[in-house]
Amino acid sequence: MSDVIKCPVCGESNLPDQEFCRYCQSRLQPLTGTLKGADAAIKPGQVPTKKNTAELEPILPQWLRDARDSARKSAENDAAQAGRQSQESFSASSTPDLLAGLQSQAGNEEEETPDWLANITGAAPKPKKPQADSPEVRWVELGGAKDFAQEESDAEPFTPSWLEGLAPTEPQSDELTDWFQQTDNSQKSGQPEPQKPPFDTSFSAPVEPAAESGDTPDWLKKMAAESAQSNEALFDDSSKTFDAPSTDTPDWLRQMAAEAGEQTNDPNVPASDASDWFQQIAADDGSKNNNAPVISAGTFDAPSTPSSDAPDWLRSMGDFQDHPQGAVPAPGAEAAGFSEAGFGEPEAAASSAENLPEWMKDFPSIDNEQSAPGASPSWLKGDAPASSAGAELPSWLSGTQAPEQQQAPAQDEAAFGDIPGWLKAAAPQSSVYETPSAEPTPAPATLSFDSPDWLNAFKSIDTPDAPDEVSPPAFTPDSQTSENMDALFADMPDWLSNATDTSPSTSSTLPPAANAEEITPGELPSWVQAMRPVDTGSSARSSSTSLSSDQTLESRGALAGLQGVLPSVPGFAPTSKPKAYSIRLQASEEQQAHAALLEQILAAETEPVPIASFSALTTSRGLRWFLVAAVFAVLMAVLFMGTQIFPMPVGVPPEINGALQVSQSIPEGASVLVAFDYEPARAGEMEAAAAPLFNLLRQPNLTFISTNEIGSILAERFISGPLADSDKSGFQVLNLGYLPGGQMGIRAFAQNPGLTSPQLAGITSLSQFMALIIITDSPDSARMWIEQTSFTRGAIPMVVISSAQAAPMIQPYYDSQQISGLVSGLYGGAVFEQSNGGIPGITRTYWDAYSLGMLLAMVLITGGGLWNLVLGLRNRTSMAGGTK
Amino acid sequence: MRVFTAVIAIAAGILILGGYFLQNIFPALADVQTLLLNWAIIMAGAATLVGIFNLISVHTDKVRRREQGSIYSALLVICLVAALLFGMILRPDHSAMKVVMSGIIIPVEAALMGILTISLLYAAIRLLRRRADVMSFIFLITAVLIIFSSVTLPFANIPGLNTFGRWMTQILALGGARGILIGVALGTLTTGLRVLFGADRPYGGN
Amino acid sequence: MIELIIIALSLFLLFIITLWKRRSPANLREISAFTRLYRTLGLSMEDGTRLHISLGRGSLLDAHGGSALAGLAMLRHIAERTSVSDQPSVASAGDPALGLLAQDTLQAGYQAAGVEELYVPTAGRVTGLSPFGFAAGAMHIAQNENVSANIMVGHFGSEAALLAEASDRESVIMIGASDDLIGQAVLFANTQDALIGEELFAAGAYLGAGVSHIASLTVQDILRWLVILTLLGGAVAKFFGQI
Repeated sequence: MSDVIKCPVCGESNLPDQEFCRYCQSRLQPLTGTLKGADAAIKPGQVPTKKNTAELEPILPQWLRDARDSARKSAENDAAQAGRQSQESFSASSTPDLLAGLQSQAGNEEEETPDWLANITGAAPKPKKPQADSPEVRWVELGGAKDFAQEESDAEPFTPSWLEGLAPTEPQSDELTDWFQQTDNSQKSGQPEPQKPPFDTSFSAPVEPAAESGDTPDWLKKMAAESAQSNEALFDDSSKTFDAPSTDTPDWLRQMAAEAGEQTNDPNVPASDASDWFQQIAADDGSKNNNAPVISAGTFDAPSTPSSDAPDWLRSMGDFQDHPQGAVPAPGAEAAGFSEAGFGEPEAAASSAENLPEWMKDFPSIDNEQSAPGASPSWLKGDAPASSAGAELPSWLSGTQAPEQQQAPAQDEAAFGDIPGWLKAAAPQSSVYETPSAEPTPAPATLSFDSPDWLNAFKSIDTPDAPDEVSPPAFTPDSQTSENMDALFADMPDWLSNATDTSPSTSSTLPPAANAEEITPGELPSWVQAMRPVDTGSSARSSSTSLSSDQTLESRGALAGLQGVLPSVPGFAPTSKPKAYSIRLQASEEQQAHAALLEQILAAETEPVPIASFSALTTSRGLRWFLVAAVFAVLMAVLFMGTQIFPMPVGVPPEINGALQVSQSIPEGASVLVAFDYEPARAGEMEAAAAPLFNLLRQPNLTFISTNEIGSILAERFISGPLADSDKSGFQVLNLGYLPGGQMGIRAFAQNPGLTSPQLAGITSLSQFMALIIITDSPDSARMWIEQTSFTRGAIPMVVISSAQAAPMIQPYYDSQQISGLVSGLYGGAVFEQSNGGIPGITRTYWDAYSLGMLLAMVLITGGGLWNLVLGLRNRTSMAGGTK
Repeated sequence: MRVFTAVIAIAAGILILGGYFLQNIFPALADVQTLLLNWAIIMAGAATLVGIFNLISVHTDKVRRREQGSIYSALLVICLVAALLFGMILRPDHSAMKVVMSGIIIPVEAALMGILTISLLYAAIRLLRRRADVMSFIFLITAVLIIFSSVTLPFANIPGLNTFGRWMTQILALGGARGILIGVALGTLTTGLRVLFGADRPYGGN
Repeated sequence: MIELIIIALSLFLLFIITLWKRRSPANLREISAFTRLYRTLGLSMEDGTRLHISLGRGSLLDAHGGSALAGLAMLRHIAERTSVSDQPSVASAGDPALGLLAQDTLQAGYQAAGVEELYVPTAGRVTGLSPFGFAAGAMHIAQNENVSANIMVGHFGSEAALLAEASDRESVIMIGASDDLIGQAVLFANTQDALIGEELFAAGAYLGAGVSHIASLTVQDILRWLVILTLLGGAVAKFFGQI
């Protein structure tokens, strides 16, 4: 199924032309063009893309190029010199037994051992691959590869950054040999050698290899075996404790733990309850408690170092076990680069101790007994009797109060904070334990240039001026109580940790470390070097004018050559009491009023607004049927019987009188325009109202027009109905039909009737008609006709016959003399009918039914209204009672 | 497209308005106004046909989807088409069309008017139960008085009743009606101005 | 000429106040009918019913065009809000041209809501060309199309009572507004909350149709005060025999 794409996310199969997975919508096809692969996830170990910026070199300013060239040359010279010196130091220092194991390791496990580890362990470095990947990482920052040829040659592929300082630039066998040789000597003596600088006695060389383990390097096994042998006589009864090592523990680590367990005095240690690392801690402590050589602690330092999944407090506790602060090394070490251990670790221990179980709190306290008694908590003070704590501790833990352990230096942990524990065992910290802190460590006369970088950092502290700095406590109270320092150094990148090695020197009055040049130039990007001030003298002079009084000359790092740029000025502490600010909100009355108004508005927004009139009234079909029955019965009865009980209205209103006069004034055979603008529903009323007027006309020439769609048909009905029933004959009728456009149509018709209606050819104005009669049931229609024809009709009379509902709205037009007469509804027709000479009309037929129906409606409204008022009040009362 | 329709609408409105008020100053505006009015009238007539077709399409769709009451929709469509054809063929003055008018249209509309009468009676009776406030009382009292003043009594007329009814109708009711109509006219004016200058565009969408 | 002055003054005020209202919020008195209308919009969406907006039979070619346009403005707003409902709103008109504009307005509301594809042309209907024919067709909608509220905004005469009757029989909420006096009288008696007079033209402002609607209300108030002063002044002058 090559034509099926399997989704990398969900694993489902998709068609090859699909861009996104149809199951999880993940992208299947890479983006096209330059973005192709841009969205791919960066995988671990992937090498960043090499970007050659060497072509930008020519555009650099001349001074920068000169600076870069000079820096490059000086770096080459330094590297060459350092190489020569290291070869001279380590030319004949290898120990045969030690080297035998290391060589075998280098030969057999070359594939498994990374180069950076081989550098440390003394294994022969693999042949350097030309242009390995890792240098490219640096090229991204540093520019072209050719600009940094020296760094490439020195750099090891895949070397962790935190180990770059450890990686030697020279062949590793010599320095490792030197380490092991010195460690071996110290172990054999059983006493630390105060004459030697603590960091020159690096590794404790194993004498015999331990049990075979596939994961453990030989050199490490040897170290463990040696340590075990050194304590074998004393702790032979404790070997049972660690007979069954944890399966999670590497063999080499179990081996080391077993060896350490053999040294434990207390056989009652609950090994099953403690994790391996903790067992190892106990083993270490036990070994120390029995005055074991310090080298043993250093040897088993790796198991005591908590793994990554260990809690912080325990990790730091383990650190303190290995590096008691009481065993402060020479102050030069603090100044050289391990001062972060001195600052950070006590804080870590102090803070983590608060989280410890009660039985464990005393555990690190004993380790820190001798550290800074003035500022330390009571449990940290060195005067605290170990027996008091030991009374509550298990016997195997009480061994942690061994004074040897208290003398272990604390600086090592910082230097190897990122180094795996097993590697720390290989680190020269074991040699630190050989040096009691009580004895000031003399500074070495000469510096060893063949040591690893981290070792060089140790050595850098061994300046001649260092003894002056020994007497004060290594850890001042301020430094120990600075809680931020712990997190600072814990989170600090390695490159910065290396850089901070110089901070103590800059903060002190010490001159620049003599071995500052020993830091290989490769650690500093050349572009930074190029930006250094060439003339340190001038920079010093310029910096002398700075505000800081600290004139310390920076000798390392990016700030090398600058003076006073990182001042540690005690005067920075605030000289006055900080101004107290009130937390009370300073708001004026107006602002408070506005705030209250805003709150009120917001409250009103959220408060539901009750709709008082939202109650629905249920319908009453019974009332409807009753009304229908009552009205229908009464009207049908009256109409069927044809009664004439109710008299016709008397009296002629003025508007009807005006209409009467107009109808009588129209000459015989005159042209009369009649507009039919009423609805069929009101045909009965309108025909009854209009018929009496038309009965008065004498053989008129009628022209009908309508502005509604059905008006023309109603006109035909009127012609065939009321007009046909009249005695008048000889009517000439012209039905123009529907006049569209409403108001505009009326206006257009009024401007030129002949143009609008071809049947009126020759009639160009409304004034050519003798009268204009509007029959409408709508006041709007009447208004349209009145207003739109006012300027064209001239003086011809206009009469409006309207329904009763429209009459009140048309009446003002009669009052303002815009129309000549108004006949409204059945009432107007009845009045008009009485004035037409006794001609019978349909009004009389309807009048009784009309009058009785109106009276019935009045009664129903009055009676029904009062009844419903009572019902409504009763309902409201009951509802009000229900709510209460 | 919307801009185009808005420009046309605004220009037509201004020309019509100018023709009303400025034709004495610009006589050409009167001719333009007449031309535009004729166009509007023709389009209004065409709109009537469109409205009829819309009515047919709505009810045809109901019949096709067999919705509730679709039988009435079918009856409506049949009657509409028949009346349209007969009216176009026979003309409105034909006797058959008069029968249709007198036998169907007017009785139906009169029946609706009768239902309206019952509805108004029902509403007036229930008004005080629905809303028993001062305005409702005034409303009902006025209605009763107007009804009573518009009829004659069989045995004896109440003196002054008719005059009182006319006074109420032409003074009180008409005064109130005038006030309401002025308000409506002002609303119509501002609404028309909004449409005239494009603030509201019911034509062409937004 | 006085008509032209009134129009020019109205236009000027409308322009100025529109600009002013863009900066200052409107302060509208509460009208229960609009409050109910606003609530009805949400309720119809909640219970899956539709709204029936009846625009009346006011022709755009006469004086009732104002009420028709006001109804269209309300329809535009309601259509936008209810376009995504399961039962979209239906508009009915008694004038052919108004029916066409109702369809256009509905489509614009759907377009504004981004659901133009849901628009159905038959949602805007011409139900009749005569008042009672229009009312009869609109009654059919109210009774047979799952309508929860009848909103009547436009020109209605006495036929509004038929729609109110149908709403009452179906227990449907009825909100009515007409520019016709007869229609107002009928609606006053038949509905719970009737909009009287020019309240019809305030619908757009209360529904948030735009600043111009609010400005037009202010212009109406100003012009109304001018009319009142003119009437009082004319009456006083008449009383003293000056006119």
